[in-house]
Amino acid sequence: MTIEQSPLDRIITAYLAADPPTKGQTRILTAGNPTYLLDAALEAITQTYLPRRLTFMRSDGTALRVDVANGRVLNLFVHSPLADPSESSCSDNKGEPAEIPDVLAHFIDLTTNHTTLTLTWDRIQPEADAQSKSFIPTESSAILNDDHGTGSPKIPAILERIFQVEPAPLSSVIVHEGRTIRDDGTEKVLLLANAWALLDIVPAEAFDLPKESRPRIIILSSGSQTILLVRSGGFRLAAIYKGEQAHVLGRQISAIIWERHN
Amino acid sequence: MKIAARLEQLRNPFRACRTVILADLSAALVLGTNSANTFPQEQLDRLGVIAGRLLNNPALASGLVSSPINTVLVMDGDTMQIFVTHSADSDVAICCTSSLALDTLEFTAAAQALLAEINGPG
Repeated sequence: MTIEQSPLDRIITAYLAADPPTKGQTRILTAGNPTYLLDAALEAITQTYLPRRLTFMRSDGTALRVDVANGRVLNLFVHSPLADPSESSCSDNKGEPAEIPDVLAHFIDLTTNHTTLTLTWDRIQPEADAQSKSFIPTESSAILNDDHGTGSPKIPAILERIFQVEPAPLSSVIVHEGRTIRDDGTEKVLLLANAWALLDIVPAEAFDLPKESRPRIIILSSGSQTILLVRSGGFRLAAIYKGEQAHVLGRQISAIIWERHN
Repeated sequence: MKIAARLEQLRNPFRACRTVILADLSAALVLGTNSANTFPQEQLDRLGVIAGRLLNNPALASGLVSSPINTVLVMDGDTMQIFVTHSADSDVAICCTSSLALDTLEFTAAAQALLAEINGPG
């Protein structure tokens, strides 16, 4: 029987077969050097608020992590399933830049393949990274770990109003320039944030408008569920509702907008 | 009845509705249109492209909703665009540009009914 591998399976398998890491080793496969294809993928990833660290973890524990910043790949890590945290180390191998575009080109596709993969992300914390370059995927990496403490930017009043409209969402998140300002901690938050990323690609191409003119409010409905995406300044709100709520939300939100205009 | 007449019939009861188009999602092509005022062709074409990108884009809401997206409201300023498709396997959609005063629920129901007619019983 042949088991079809996902693109990521094939990539990781190829990497590991080419240069198997020893137990406890996390390899940095390459750094920088974007090509045309890499640029295209990076544009999709980095032009949005998307967090700067993306991790794909297979059920067997094998994980792929990419750190991006300023439109460039900083590091690409593959974590061995045999890794022992106490022995973790890494080595810098800059010899395989040609492979990177292939990996990144699959990123967007892979977000639809989460039945077999866990997609997580974190903000890069430069100081922490400088201390430890090892990468150990853990349960905690599945949680948005942005700072919710003091210093968070003030959420615009219009988003506060929209956030509070009834019915209450099943899941919701507000993000500001890569930082999660508010979320309800459910797993859907990750997917909601990703919906924004995908949608950002759509208007950029399809709406053919300058960035500041992109639609501010988009409501997607499947009949059984409804997704609300609202942009205001640097803030992005995403929420998912049970049932067909597109028209209710549309009416309430347009009322809020009119009220604000008047 | 011709498509143009059907679209006019769809738009007429909704005073807030400025333009309706019938779009082919796979080709992102405008098949027919009815508008209260002159509507530049490039804007019509753009609506067709947007419809294709929003309604023919399974990745957009993957993992969030269990069935395909069939209605999209895009609101900005005092205008709204509505994109409605009949079913997941349908290649056609109705798009409407309107003011925020549009009764979206009624319009969507009317658009769905027209799409069901266009799609036929099969």
